[in-house]
Amino acid sequence: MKKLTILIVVALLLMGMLIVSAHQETSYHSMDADCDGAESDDGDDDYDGDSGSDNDGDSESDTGGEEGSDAGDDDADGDTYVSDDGDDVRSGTSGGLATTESADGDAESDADDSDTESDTDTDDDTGSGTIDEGSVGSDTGGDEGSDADDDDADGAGSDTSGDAMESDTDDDTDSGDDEDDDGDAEEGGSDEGDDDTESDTDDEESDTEDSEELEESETTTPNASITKEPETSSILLIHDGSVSCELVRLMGNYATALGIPVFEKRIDFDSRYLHDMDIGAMGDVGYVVLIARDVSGLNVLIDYVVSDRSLDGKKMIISSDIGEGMLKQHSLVLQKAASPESLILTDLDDSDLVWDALLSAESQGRHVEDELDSEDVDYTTVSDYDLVTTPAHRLVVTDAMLTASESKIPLEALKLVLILPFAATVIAIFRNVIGVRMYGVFGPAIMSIAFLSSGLVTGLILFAILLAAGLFSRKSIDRLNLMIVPRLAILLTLCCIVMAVIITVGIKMGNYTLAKTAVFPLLVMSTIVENFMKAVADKGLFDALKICLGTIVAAVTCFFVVSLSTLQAIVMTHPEVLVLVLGFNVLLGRWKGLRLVEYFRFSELRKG
Amino acid sequence: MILPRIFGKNRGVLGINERNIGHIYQENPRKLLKLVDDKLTTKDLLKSVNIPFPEVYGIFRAVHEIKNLEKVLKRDEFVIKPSNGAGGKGIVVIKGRSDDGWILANGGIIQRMEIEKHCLEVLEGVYSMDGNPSPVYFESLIKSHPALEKVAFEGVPDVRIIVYRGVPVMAMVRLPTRQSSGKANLHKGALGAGIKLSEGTTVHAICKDRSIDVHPDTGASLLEVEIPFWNDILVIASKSYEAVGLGYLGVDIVIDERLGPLVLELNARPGLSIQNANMSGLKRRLEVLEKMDLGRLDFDERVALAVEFDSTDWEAV
Repeated sequence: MKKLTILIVVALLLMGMLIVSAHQETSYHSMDADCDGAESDDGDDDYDGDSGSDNDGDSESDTGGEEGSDAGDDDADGDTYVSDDGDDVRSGTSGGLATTESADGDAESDADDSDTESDTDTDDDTGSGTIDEGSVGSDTGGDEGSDADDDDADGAGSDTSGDAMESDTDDDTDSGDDEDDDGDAEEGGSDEGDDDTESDTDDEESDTEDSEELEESETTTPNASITKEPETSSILLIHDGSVSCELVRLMGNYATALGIPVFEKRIDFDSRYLHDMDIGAMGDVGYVVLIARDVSGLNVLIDYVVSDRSLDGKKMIISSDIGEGMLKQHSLVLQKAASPESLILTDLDDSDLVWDALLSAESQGRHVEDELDSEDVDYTTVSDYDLVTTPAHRLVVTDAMLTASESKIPLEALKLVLILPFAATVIAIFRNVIGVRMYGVFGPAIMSIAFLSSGLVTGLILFAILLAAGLFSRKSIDRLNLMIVPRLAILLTLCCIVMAVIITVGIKMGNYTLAKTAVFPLLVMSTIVENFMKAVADKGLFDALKICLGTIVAAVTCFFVVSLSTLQAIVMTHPEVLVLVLGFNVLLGRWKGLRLVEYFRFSELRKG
Repeated sequence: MILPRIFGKNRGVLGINERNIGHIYQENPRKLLKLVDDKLTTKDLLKSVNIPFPEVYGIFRAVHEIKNLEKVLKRDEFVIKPSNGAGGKGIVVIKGRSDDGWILANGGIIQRMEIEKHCLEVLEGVYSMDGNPSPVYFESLIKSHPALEKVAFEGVPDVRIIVYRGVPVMAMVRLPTRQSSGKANLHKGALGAGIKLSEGTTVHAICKDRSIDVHPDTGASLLEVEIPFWNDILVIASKSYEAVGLGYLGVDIVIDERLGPLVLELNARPGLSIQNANMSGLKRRLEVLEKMDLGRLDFDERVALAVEFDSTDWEAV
């Protein structure tokens, strides 16, 4: 009996290992430090040389915007590039917009000085200082400055708000804050922007900035770009937090300097799917460039091309941190779904080189592959030939992924399902090998999955708020002398109320992240809060908090394990590793050794 | 594996993993567990093999029976217990009557209404292990034996014996402290004093898994305390195995000043701190017995075996 089980386990393990090792030459990359989204000052520094003095103005207005509110950031993203990003804030009420603008308005004072300084360079520079966060800020800077400046800046400013609201009538939305002359200014602004790009392409500084404006004007009036640059196809850049916003902006600037329009789309914790991308408005998309650390980027791209065929047959370049073998394996799904004209895979570290190569190839009409060769960048190409040569049992996985995506199951959701066993295994290790006490077994595991969708910090804050709400309400609930189940129902109700309030306040303040991500974590965490309250009643607050700490430590560790991009790639491309997980857990379940905490518990006994 | 390499060899300590996989899952079939989870069922089984236990004054299994509370409440001293409780939850100790109600163990006063409410809560399952409704019963109040008076603070000490396939393998006496508020649960702060099986005297004591020599509240020495009725206690422990058939069993015994040793409850998953209390691991003792065929021995022979092994420090055979 015993031998039989061991035999089965060993067989399972061997099978899993064979399957995994046979079909992947995985190079394990260590996970990059999380750099999601935050516009880093480093990015600024790097490019100081390029954009010269007016960059100071930029960076200052940047920080001003950040200090204002998150909403300011969102808006800025939206306005810098294209209208499809505007849907991040699409449900924005006018109240939300008002706060946004006033927040930006705060940034004015910061931006003012630098703007006026850079005014000495060219008027356009100041105008383009608007591009990112400080759009409204430099607006006023312009007001105080010369008239020409005024027009320009206002133009950009009004564009911004228009995008953010996703409303067609810019004048209506703006009229509250800006004066009548906005309307005129807008036209003037966009006109001037166009002129500028055409005229002074030699001036580096104004160039990069103007290009941004060019994009804006393109967004609002797609026709302009098409008529202006009919010969150049555009680039669709999809990226996640692995490249800073600043860097993305500069990448965009660089491209537009060469007359190549770039459309940017960011995937994030809160929007791990692409939607409402107006491909038509992008003109002729020549290249789709995807820069994403983990498989999420590829997943959302596959989901997109499956639902919207407008990207079929395009040329695609993917930079990712996951191992080459697995990246290739997974991109077969993309190959099969969209059959791109060419599909190039590179490492995330090479993404800037790839971008350079792509731009120079585009501008000189050469092949990207040749440019990559000359830059000495490692890359892999995927073609239909790979679909033929891939072994049938590997294609089964590819087909399954494609089928799932076609059936409207987001691959990201599939990933969460496939990664859950790993989370549970980590919990099993925590309990049986380390001996950490925690609430429930799958509570912490699911909590870590919830962290994946909400982000670690947001998730922990939510959890803390819920625990605090539970603790504070306990006294008053206890006074009512209720039976236990209705008492827990009351507790859950309170959690939901607190959550609803947080979400509403978040939306009022222009933060939509919570609203999008909080529901799933809320459900998971309320059950843990319930366990916590039970423990408080049974064992006292101190013990309950200790177990709570154990739960959090386990959940956070779990989170770090399930967010390993290599692990995510493995489960997506080789779901059969779950057999390994089974085998491992059988072994773990039969392990008789002392738990880590028991070494301390029996320390005196072991010495004596 | 890795852990022993870091922390040094494990000298015969039985850990939770090994206890569960190696002993509880093997020796305690799932269908037998419910025999000890319900204390009233346990009492029936104990009765069938003539093991003494505290007298039951009354049992209430349904809400409408609570109106018969009168005949129990005539008594001045009693203990209210849920039949399906765990960890001492839901136990109310009444030690006397006053003008406006009954006196609790901590000196507080409890009204008749509150007693009724407590009984209803027990019936609802508030104090149950699994949250299911549980009968509530009234039991006689144990008066601690004078021999243990000095080492117990406000409460009744009880003797915990681990019985492996009917052979007592390790024992300790659990002594209430001020911190444990008169309860004999180790995790609540009660002391655990290991008892040498062959002699019936305490050899070592712990408080929260750390060594301690004197009782923190009474100041009495915790070593060399002689446990009264020791041989009877070993016999009762051994016979309890026959009552429920659990191969790995914790037997809790209280020593009443008039009635002597009484079985309080049986435990299918006894804790492991008893090893610290004895400054000795369980592993070797269990290994010695595991190899033997104990099926034909009766309880007297099993006790004799335990005493013999213990006097040679479980090295023999």
